[in-house]
Amino acid sequence: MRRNFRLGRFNTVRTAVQVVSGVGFVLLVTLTVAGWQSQTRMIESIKRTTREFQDDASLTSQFASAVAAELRAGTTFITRPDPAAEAQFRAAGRRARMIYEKLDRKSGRTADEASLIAEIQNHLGVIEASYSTARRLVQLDRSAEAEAQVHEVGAVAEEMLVEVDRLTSMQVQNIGVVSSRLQEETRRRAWIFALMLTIAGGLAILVVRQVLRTISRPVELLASHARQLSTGIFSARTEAAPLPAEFRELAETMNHAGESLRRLGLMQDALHESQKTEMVGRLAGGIAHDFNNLLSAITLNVDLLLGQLQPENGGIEKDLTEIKVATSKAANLTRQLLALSSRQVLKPVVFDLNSVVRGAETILSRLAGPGIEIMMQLCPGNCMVLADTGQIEQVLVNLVVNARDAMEAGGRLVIETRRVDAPQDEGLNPDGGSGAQIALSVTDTGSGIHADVLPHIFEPFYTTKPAGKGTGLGLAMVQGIVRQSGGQIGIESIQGSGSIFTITLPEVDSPAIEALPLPIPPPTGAGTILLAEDDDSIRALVRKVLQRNGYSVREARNGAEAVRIFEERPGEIQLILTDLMMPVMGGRELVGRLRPLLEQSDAAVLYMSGYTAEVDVLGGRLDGAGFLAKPFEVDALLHAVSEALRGRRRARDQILDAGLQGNG
Amino acid sequence: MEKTHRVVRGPMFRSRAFSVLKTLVLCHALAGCSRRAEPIVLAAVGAWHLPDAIPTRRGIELAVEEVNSRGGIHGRPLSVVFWNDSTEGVRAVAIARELVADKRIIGVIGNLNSGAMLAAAKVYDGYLPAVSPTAVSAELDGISSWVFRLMPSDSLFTATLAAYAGRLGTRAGIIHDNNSFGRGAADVFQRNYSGRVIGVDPILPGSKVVEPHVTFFRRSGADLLFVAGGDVLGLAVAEEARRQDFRGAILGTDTWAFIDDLSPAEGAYVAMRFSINDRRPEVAHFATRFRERFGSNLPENGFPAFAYDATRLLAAALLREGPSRTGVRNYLASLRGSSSIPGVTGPISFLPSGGPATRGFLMMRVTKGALLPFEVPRR
Repeated sequence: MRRNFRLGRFNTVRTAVQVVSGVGFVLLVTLTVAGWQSQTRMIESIKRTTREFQDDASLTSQFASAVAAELRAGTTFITRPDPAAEAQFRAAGRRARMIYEKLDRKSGRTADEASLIAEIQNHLGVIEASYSTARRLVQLDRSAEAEAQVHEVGAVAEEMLVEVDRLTSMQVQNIGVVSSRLQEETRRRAWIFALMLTIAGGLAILVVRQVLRTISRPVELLASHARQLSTGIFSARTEAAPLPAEFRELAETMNHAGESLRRLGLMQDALHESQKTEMVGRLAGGIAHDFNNLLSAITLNVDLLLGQLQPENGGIEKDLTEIKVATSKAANLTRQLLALSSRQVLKPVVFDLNSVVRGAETILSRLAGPGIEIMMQLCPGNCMVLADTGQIEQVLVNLVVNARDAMEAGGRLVIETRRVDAPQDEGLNPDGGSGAQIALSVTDTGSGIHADVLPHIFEPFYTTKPAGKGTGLGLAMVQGIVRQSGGQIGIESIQGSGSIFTITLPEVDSPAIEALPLPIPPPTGAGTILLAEDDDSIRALVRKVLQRNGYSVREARNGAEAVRIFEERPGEIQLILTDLMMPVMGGRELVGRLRPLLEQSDAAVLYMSGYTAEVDVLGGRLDGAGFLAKPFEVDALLHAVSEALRGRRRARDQILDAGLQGNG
Repeated sequence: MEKTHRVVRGPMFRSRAFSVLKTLVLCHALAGCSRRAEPIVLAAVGAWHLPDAIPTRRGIELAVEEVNSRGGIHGRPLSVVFWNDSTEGVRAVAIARELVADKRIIGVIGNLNSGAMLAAAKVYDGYLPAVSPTAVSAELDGISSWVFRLMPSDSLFTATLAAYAGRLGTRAGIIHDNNSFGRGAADVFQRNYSGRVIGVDPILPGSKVVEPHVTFFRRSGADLLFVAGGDVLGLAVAEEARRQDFRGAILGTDTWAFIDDLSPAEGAYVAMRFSINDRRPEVAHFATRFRERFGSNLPENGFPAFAYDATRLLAAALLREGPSRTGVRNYLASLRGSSSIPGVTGPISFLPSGGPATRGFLMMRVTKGALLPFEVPRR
């Protein structure tokens, strides 16, 4: 699942951190200011309320004092009816009433308080009126009535004083109530503040967590990627798109680095493989020349001896035949070594791969054995490729043998041809062609190949078969032939299920070239052959064979001698039969030197060699003519010479072209 | 002391919801009227649910009918919407805020009650001109340059009376209800009386025990007794004075107008701000129109006349200045001294404090059980 590590609309960590820091700062400042203001208001409220209660308590106290003073003044006012006493009484009354007005005007008073104050006010009015009446009665000498009035005043005064006490008590009680209310309010605000802090903290944690997630998750991904790269897993990738910009760039860089390392690894593997193949090829090529010369000498001598045997020498003939078979096996081994290093001499022709597969079906069935069912799935129409048909047959045989060995208990073998697109460039085939390809697949239902073995199966001399059952050259040779033919080979295998070997060759858009039929070797020949060969024994044997079969032979030990001989008798020589590798001057240089003369004459050229390194410079291909691989038998020599002479003009032109290219 | 907000229980506005509904209905009505001519709207604020307020309201209605019958205000009818403040300050403030916010209201007739007027005056200040027909508290003096009163304050009324009392004698005794009105009136009288005050005797409100006080003042040779209190005290003193054959004068205030049978107080002097028995023709004419329109006589306190004058005064301002709050206020403030306009209750002009500049009182005397004009002193 694709995960998006972006933080809202912010696609960079820098922006996210800046915004989060800003929001956090504003939130913190807001909370601090709000908390400060709340506390300030609370403190002001407490101060104000305290002050109000202090004022109210003070007023109540003053009121009680004023009432008491008025009562005292009233007593004097009655008993001493002079103007001063009256003025004092009036002043005390005004003072009490003034304080009462203040008490009465105070807002926020409870109904009980207000009622009590109104009651006190009424009593004050009663007392004042009664004192006034009592005074007048005293002034009228009506003491008894005055006393009754005063007595009545006393009762009211007592009641009023009780009410004043009650008012004081109420205020004390109210102070307690208000104090509790303030405490409750303080607690409530503290809770609100704590709640706000908790919410802010929670939000901060969520936001920080999101930011960390935005940072840490990509870091984990990139660290994991780096670990994979360090352990050689160059195919590891980190999806960059969902990451913040900074990490996205880093991930893309790491992806590119991984891809580069992967390509480098593939190229290193290819180089390593190439170096190994080159080494084996050099080794094989190095010994092939001399070894094939020896085999040629043996083969030619055996052929000569066999030609001289009398019928009564049957035992000797059998022995000589065994020598010849052994020599042939040795020559085959040399060819295999050359093939795996792609140093074989190919004779490519355009042919229909389906036809080759169909033609080999009988042989392949025999090779596979009775327990294996062979199925053919061939692409419709012709699948034209350019290759050496014999080598492709060899490839097919090797793959079938390999499949057979993997299916000891029997199974199914499918040979399939199909058109495919050109394989993608993976660094293994930098010169790989493009366009349509023909694929040849050999699928078996055998034991499959273990993953550890897969990377080594094309290595020369690598085999998992028991000792004596395989040389370890089969698949290496197959790979060498395919590569030399401009194709590729791949393998898919699941252990326990089977394997699929797939060869791809470029499809060509030209008709098939019919191979020239081999001529029946003439018992004798005619014409002069310039034989250039540095190996004395080979040269002597070849000269002997050619002379016995009617040819005239001029010998040269190297190219320089051959040039001199040819230049002396340019019209006499019909064929130059030359070894490719010789001291002083090789066969290729020899032909190059003689080019102007060869253009004038109709002499043909036939190369021979036990080592194809020289042939490689001609493209590894001689187009079916002009080359004789060592070791060769007498018949092969005679066929090659005869063929060269028959089509000498054509062969000469081709060789001239090749020589031009090689020297160009 | 009432501290809680009570729902208005007046006949027109029983709740805020009803008030809103009323406003909607009014808007609808006004919208309907606007098809003809959009009325100019005044608000009348008082305790309209009280029976005593009914004649006052009629005074306003009579004035509106007369204005509209003469073509209204430049062709636009004059309309008055009645708001009930229940004499409560809190309610008066809430109503005042609504009126200030309602731009259709150009002026206010009210508030009737002094306490409600005191509370609302601070809201009207600077926004809405108000003319109170009956508020009399001296605390209203100078409270706002947008608030005007037609009745003189108690202190002014009493001071004028004290000055007049100097003509009746040089030795005075004061008997007053021992409440804020009585004490205040006694103090003002004492300060403004040119003679000697023998004594100031508070009486418990509602009490009829005045015999020792009347006896004392009689024996002390008082020329007059000033009774500052309600009708109970007034009657008690008058009866006791008569019983003791007190020779001096007895002075009462206009609260005596509520006494049905004044025969025990025969010969007493009663000072009134207005009287239906005023001999001026405009008073008689107004009394006649009132009686014809509503089928009842004017009450003795003459409150409908003050309400009538307040409405006519605002209509005159609208005619002069147009439907502009500021214009109306400026016109009212310009009524100073000789620039007064005539009214049923007398020439109307204002002091800088907002109180009436040309108000005096009528001195009535109880003659054969009725209050009859004795002398009309004017300041």
